[in-house]
Amino acid sequence: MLEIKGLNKRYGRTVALKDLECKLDTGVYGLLGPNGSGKTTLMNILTSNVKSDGGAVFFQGREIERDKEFRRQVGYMPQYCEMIPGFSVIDFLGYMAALKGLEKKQALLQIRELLERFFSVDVMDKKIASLSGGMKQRLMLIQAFLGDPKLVLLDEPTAGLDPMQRVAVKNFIAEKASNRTILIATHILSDVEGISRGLLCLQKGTCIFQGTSEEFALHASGMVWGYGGTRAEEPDVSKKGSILSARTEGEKVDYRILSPEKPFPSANPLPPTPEDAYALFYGERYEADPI
Amino acid sequence: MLTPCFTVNDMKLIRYELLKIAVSRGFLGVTIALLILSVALGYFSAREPRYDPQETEAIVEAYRLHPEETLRQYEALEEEYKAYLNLLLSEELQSSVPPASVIRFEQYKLAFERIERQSHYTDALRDAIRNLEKQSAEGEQAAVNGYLLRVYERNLSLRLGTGSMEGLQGLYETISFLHLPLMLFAILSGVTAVYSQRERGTELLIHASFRGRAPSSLTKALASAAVWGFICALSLLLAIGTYSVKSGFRSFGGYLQECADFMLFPIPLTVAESLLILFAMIFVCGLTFCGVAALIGKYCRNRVFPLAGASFLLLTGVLPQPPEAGSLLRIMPAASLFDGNRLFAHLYPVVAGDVPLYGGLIAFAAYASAALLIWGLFILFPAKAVERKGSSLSLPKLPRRHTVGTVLGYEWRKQLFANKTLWLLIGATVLKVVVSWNTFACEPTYTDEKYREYMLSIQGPYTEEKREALEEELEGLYGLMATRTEMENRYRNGEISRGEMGRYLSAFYEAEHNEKALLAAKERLDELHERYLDGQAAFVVYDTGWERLLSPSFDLLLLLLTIGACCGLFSDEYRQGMVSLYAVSACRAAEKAKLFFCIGLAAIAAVSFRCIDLLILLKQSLLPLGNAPSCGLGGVSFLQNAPLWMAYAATVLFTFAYALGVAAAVSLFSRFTKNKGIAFLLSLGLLLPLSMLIL
Repeated sequence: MLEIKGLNKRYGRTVALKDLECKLDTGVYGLLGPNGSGKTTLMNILTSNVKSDGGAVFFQGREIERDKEFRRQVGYMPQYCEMIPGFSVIDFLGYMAALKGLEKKQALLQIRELLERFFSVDVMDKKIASLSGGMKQRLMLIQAFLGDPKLVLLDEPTAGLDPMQRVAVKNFIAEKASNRTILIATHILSDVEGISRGLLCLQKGTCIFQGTSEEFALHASGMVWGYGGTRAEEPDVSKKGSILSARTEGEKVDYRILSPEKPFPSANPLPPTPEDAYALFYGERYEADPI
Repeated sequence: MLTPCFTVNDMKLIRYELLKIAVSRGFLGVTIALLILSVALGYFSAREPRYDPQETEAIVEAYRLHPEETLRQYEALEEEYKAYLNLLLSEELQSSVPPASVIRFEQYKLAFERIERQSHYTDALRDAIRNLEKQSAEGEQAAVNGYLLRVYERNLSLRLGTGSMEGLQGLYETISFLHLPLMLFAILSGVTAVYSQRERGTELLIHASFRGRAPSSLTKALASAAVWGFICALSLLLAIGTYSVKSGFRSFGGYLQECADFMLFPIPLTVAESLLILFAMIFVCGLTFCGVAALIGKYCRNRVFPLAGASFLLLTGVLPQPPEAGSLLRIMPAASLFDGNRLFAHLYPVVAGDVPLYGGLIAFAAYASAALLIWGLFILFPAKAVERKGSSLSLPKLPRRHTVGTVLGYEWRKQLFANKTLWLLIGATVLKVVVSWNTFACEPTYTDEKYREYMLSIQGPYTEEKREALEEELEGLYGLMATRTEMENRYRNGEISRGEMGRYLSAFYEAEHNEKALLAAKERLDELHERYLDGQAAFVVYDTGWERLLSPSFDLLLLLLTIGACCGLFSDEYRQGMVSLYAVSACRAAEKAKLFFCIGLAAIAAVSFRCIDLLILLKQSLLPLGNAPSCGLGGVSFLQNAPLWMAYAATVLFTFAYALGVAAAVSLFSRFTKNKGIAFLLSLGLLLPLSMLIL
C-alpha cells in the first residue's frame, strides 16, 4: 500500500503540492489533473527525483526516504525520455535490468516475456533511434515492469499510440495490476476506465477527489443534459451551459451539455460519466475517442 | 537548386535568427568560455615590463635634445652597474634587491639599444635611397625603383622613436595563440546553426513554410556572420586590452615602419591599423570554417561529423589557420605564409610560389572567396528536411547471441558506440601518429648524425677518460678551424692550389658541424661529470630520443580527446531524459560505472599516446640501452638512478594521472552544466591554459 501524508512541495513562489494526502492499495489508479496540477511533481517525489518540502510517503508501512530497498520496488515510465538512441532494444532493456540489479538469466527471461507482448522477435536488435514513436512508447512501458516492481508509476503511457495499441496497453496494465500498485498519470480517462480501482484528482497541488470512477461520475449527477438542435444554435447552447460534445447527423446535432439547470425545455437528463465529472471539475472540454 | 528569390521582407528573418542565437544557453556558455580564455591568454602571454615605457621615451627624447649629457649619464650608470655585478659575482651583496641605479641603468640600456636600432634603420634607409637614385639615374628598373623610393622616403619622413615597439611581438603572439580557439569556436557556431534547429524539430516547420528554405538559409548565414564577427572582435579586444594593461604596451598609434621588417609596406600603418587587418583576416578565416561546419551539418543527421570534419580540416592544416600576425604584412610568397601546408600550396596555384609583394592580401582574398563559395552553397542548395532513420553508417549485421551484461559493460558500450567516442578515440590516435611522426621522425641534420655517432661510440658508465678524449678531439678541431685565415692568405698568395683550398674548406665545414656535435656531447658529459663528483650514478647514453620521450610536455591532442570523450558523460543523460530513470533504479551504480569509464579512458589514452611516441622513436633507433640509469634525462626527478624504461613507465603514469584529472574535471562540468557544448568549451577554456602553465 502506498500512503501519502501531508506532502508539500514548492518551487520558489509556486506551490506544486499542498498537504496532499491519499492511500492507494494494490490495483490501478488514475492520476488526473490539468497541466500544473502537481501530477509530475508527485511522480518525481515518488521516484526520488525530487525531495519534498514536508510530509512523508510510506510504502508497505516504511517511509520511502529511509527505506533503501524502496527504489528496487519501483518501476517508472517518464513522460519524455529519448532513451539511448544508439542502443538496440535488447541492449537498452538489458541495461535497465542491470541497473535494477537483476540476475542475468532472470533479466533475459523477463525481457523476452515482456517483449513478446508487444513486439516481434526481430525487433530485439533494432536500434532505438530507428523505432517509431509508438514503439518507443511501448519499450518505455516494458522497462518499467522489469524486475517485477511493486509500485509502478506511468506518466502518459498511451501517448502516441493508435487505438488498437492503447487497448493492448490497457489490457497489459490490467493484467499486471493484481499484486502491485500502478499509478497512471493521464489526460485520457478511457485509459483507466474499466481497469482502475480508483481515481486521484489533483488541482493546484491538492487532492480534490479520491474514489472510484462511479463515485467520480456521480458528482455530475443531475447536471448532464442531452439536446437535439442544429449547428446554428450552438452559440445559444453554449450560453446555457458547457458543451461536452456535439455529434452531427446530417442537419441535426446532438448536444451533450453540462449545466446545473435544465438548459432547454426539450433537454433530457443523461446519466453522468467520468468525463462529464472531469469537465465539471476542471472546466475543460474533453475529446471523445474517435470511432 | 533553389532559385534565390529573396525579398526585403525576408531580411526580417535575420532578427529571428539573431534572437535564436541569443537565447541559446549553450551558445552563451560557449561564448563566455571563449572570452574568459581570451582574457587568460592576454594575461599569461604578457610579461611584466622590465622597464617603464614612458621613462624610456623620456630618455630617448633627452638624447635627441642633449645627446652628450645623456650619454655621460649612461656611462656613469654603466660604471655603477659593473660595480654591482662584481659584488654579485663575489657574493658580497648585503641585499638581494638591486639598487635603484641598476634599474635605471637597465632603462638607459634599453633606450640606447632603441636609439642604435633606429640609427641603423635610418642609415640603411638613406643608403637605400642613394642606391635607388643612382640606379634610376642609370635607367635601371624605373618603375620598381620609383615605388621603392617613394616608400623609403615616406618611412624616413616619419618621426621614428615616437612610440615604443617593445611588446609588439608579444601582442602579435597573443593574437596568434587565439587563432585555434577562435577557429574552433567558429566551427562550433556553424554546427549549432543547423543542428540545434534540427534537434528542436523546427526545421520541418521552416521547410514546410511558404518562405522557408532559401531565405531561411540566407538569413542564417548573415546572422552567423554577424555574430561571429562580433564575438571575434570582442574576443580580440579583450585579449589585446588585457595584454596591454599587463605588459604596459600602449603604442597603438605607433608606426609599424619603425620595425625594419615592415619597411616596404606602401602605406604608413599604425599598430592599430595592423590589428584591424589581422581582425579582417581572422574574420574571413573563421567565416570559412563556420561555413564548412554548417555545410557538412546541413547534410548530416548529427553534429559529430560536421564538428569532426571541420576540426580535422583545421587541425591537420588542410584548411590552414590564419597566418602569423607579423608575417601577414610582410613581403613574402603567400604559400610560405602557411609553412608546411603543401596542400594549400598545391590547391591554390595562383598564390603558391614566388608571388611578389603582399602574399597576405592574396591569402585574404583566397579565404574570402572560399567563405563566399561555401556559404553560397549553403544558401542555394537546401538539404532534405526529413531525416533518415537509422545509422548513416550501417555495418553488416552478424547474428548475435542475446545476453544481458553489467552496468559497467553497458556504460562502456554506451560511450564507445552509442555516443561514438570510439570514433573520437580512433581519430585522435591517427592524428597522434601523424603529429608524432612529423615531430620525431624528421630528417636528422648532419650535426644530429655526428652527435648520435659519437654518443653511441662512448655509451656506457661515465669515466674521466671519456671526457678527456672528447676535450682532446675538440682541441684538434679548434686547431684546424684556427688555421682558416692563414690558409686563405696562402691561397691568395698562390702557395696552395684551388683544389687544396677546396679540400681544406670541406674539412673546415665538416669540423664546424663536428664542433657543434661535440659541444653538445661535452655539455652532456659535463653534467655527468658533476654527478660523478657527487657520487651519483653517471651513465653515458645517446639521449636525444630518451629526452624527447621522457620530458613532460603539454599534449593538446590528449586534452582534446579527454574533454571530447567526457563532456557528454552526464549532460547526454540529462538531454536524453535518462536521469529520471537512474534516480529510480540505481543512481550510484550508474555513477560508479561512469567513474570507471573515466579511469579506463584515461588509461587507454595515456598508454596509447605514450606507446605511439615510443614506437616511433624505436623505429628511428633513437632509444638505445633501455636498462641504463636515467641519470638526469628528463622524466621524473626521483627516479634518477632507475633504468630508463622505468622512467618511461613513470611518465606513462604521470600522463595517466593528468588524463584522469582532466576527465574528472570535465565530468564535473558535464554534471553541473547539463549541456555538452557548454561543458566542452568550459573545460577547454579553463583546462587549456592551466595545462600549458603546469606542463
